[in-house]
Amino acid sequence: MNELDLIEKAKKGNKSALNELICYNLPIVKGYIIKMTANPDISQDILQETLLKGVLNISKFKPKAKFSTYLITIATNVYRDFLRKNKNIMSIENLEHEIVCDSYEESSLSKFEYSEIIKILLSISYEKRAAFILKHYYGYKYEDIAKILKCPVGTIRSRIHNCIAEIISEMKVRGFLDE
Amino acid sequence: MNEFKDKEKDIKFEQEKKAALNKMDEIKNIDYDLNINVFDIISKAEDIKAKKQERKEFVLFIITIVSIMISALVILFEGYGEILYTYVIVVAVALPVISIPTALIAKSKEA
Repeated sequence: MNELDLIEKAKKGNKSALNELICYNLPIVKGYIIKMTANPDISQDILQETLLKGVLNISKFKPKAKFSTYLITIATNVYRDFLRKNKNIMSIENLEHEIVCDSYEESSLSKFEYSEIIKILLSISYEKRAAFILKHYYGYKYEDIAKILKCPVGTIRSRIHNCIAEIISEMKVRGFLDE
Repeated sequence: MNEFKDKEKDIKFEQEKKAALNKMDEIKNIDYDLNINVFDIISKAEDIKAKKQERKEFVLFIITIVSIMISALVILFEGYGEILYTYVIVVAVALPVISIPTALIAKSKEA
């Protein structure tokens, strides 16, 4: 069954269609949230809230965009609210010791390098990070990212460019790239 | 000369960008074992929706009752006692006649 049929059925209250729709789109949203937070506990909370809001507001969803885009938009808003609420207690320093490197085995990097790369990503502001993650890891178009982050396409272009420049500079500082 | 320098700078940036993005690709498959039960979330959402609907219906019920009471009192205090009897009879007859089929239609639509 294609996504549009599932969406229509889910809107009419079909639970198994809704379940199938969410399970199908779960890996991309989960991956996005994990990359944004790099923290399993925060990821768990944000993912749960995202899915709950997604289910509650499914009647308002217009299938012009993909369902995953709809969930990613919600996830971005939930994460932004989370950062606002926790701006006094959240910082990179706090996150550093929480980085769990249990997925580095698949990578060719050492545990230290893996952790350092995550820290580089976390050191970037969430607006730039979100734009970069969506573009680089998920191949979203600038126009779609602009819709998700609710800002002009030009801003997204400059955020991604600045983000890459910051990553290069951080990598030089941490010795991953030559000066 | 400046053009040449700019071009050289661009080439250097592109090379660094490529190397940096290659490194960033190493965390492409970062994953944590999150405990997510989609059916639980759907049930929770259904509960929240039901509670919202209940609250909405309760408010609507209170508004209807209050407006009926106020209009009855206004009629009584304006000295139209006889009209009040007619009013009560009309409301008592009309309300079930309208509300029961409406509720049945709404329920059948939900099902």
